[in-house]
Amino acid sequence: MNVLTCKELSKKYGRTPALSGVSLNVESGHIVGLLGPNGSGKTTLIKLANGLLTPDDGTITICGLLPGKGTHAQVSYLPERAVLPEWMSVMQILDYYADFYADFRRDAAQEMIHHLGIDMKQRIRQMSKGTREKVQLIMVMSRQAKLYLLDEPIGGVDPATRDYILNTIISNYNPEAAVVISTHLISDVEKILDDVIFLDRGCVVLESSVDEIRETRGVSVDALFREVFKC
Amino acid sequence: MKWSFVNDLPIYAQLIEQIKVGIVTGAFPPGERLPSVRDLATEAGVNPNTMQRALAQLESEGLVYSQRTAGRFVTEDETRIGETKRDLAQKHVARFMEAMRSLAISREETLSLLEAEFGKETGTNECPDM
Amino acid sequence: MLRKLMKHELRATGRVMGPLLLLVLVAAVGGNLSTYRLLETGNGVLNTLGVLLLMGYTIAFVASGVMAFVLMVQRFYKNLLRDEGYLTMTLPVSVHEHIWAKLLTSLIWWIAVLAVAAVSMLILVFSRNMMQEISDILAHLHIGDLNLSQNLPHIVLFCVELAMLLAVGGACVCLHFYAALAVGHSFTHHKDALSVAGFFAMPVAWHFIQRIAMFLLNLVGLEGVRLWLQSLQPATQTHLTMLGVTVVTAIPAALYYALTAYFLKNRLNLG
Repeated sequence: MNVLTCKELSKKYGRTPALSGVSLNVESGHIVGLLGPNGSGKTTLIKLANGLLTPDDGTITICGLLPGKGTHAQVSYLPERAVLPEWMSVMQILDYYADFYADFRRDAAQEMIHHLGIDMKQRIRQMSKGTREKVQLIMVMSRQAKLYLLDEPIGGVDPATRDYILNTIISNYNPEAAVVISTHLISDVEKILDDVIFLDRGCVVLESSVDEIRETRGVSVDALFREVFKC
Repeated sequence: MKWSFVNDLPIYAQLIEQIKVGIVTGAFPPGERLPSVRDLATEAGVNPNTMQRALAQLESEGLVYSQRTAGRFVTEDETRIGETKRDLAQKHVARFMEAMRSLAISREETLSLLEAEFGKETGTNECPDM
Repeated sequence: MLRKLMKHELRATGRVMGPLLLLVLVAAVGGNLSTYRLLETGNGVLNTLGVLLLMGYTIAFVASGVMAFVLMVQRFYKNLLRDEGYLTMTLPVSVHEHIWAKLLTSLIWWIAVLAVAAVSMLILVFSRNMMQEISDILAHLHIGDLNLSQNLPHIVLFCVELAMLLAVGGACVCLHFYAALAVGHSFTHHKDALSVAGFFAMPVAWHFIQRIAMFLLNLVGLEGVRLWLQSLQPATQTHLTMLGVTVVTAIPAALYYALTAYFLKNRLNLG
């Protein structure tokens, strides 16, 4: 079943095109890598799927619905920046997610927070950058969503945190859901992907499964990426 | 169990090989229940779908079997495990021979190299202090 | 969901407004002490302290009003249109619920500020013989002349109308800011500058619409309405005028609301 569908999707910032006629499908049960260099349109695509931007042309739908109140209940979104209000404590953030999302597994989130040794009363302001990112990811992965949209989940973190993040994703996502991970750090995520979508300057240049790339071309996705986006 | 991956082979193929090694070396003993797909995938740091595919392949090869409610188990068929061990060893030998051929080392040279290697091993065994 | 939004909105604003309003009340106690004790002593140090306490009260008093105003703008701007908007604008709630939650929370704090202002002033002037003074003042007012039994319903009604007008007026001020921010932030560049420009352009546009409407109404014959109004009882005239002013204030409020909702729903463009 298609969870995320784009048809001829286009978006410009002023005169600069960010996405030009992108059409793609993401099926349930798949972990998909949205790969491309900086400025290729990955974040724009994810923000359009969340209704944070409005398309200039074409459509984007989630389970057949246009982005809005109905899709927000089914999509769990990790933005590429820190968005949790700094004054909030972990406890207040748990309240927040539990109040608004019926699919939030509070006990799972609490367990992961506890495992990291974070105090429930600690405020976001008092946390290091890495801890903030982990808390944000825990909230996102504690939902039983239909679609997870993870924008640069491993950008700018140390290798140990990277492993923690990838493990948290694998061990928590809903198996019937689709997961979209945008990143340019391909070698790190390659092992957990089913399929990849290469974006270049707002266009889809490749859609394939990871096994297919390795089987038919005999190279890793990372090597193929370096070849396709050679400067 | 230590998992490691190379770049030029499909992940599921590498998973199959590594689980096979686990079975023949006793890391996954005969008749023992395997961890769940998700746990195995998390441990190896791979996609659960890929792990599922690898296990399905191993099942069709008769190395693991599933019981509807209890999960997946390692086969108790010792001859099957023995065959697998031999297959794995043969693959290594084939790879070794390929490397020797590419270096243009003759059959006799290869054999003497191997004998010297075995000699070294027994030598160190006899004189542990050296 | 509106209830939950309001709960979290009150939590976010209450952590600032709560202590501030409490401070106003505490400062009023200090001010009272100052007027009735310290300033009477003739001691230089105590006099200075008294003046400082009164100043403290004034500052806290003004700060509570200013903060309610700042939070009204800042919560909409920061919580919906900046980084926190990635969290709030992806909640499974409608744009209308977002606007109402922000609007009602702002109104609640304005009411709280007014209530605390009234209470703090009572505290400030409280003294043992205050009751006596109040009854003296009331005696001088000749309450009897007001013919209370006959006019009470009108006075109550007038108070209700005044409260309604203040609420609608407050909402209009709020929505004016919201509309300007929502429109300004729908652009890709110069979001803040365009918001400010929009803020000043909108009342001008509304004024223009008003002029045209008045012109058209005059053509239809507003004079008849005026004459009819003049033929009514003075009390009825007052009520109708209050109602009219409320409606005229509600129109731009509704327009600002529609503008805000449309731009948040269909033209969102988070940077």
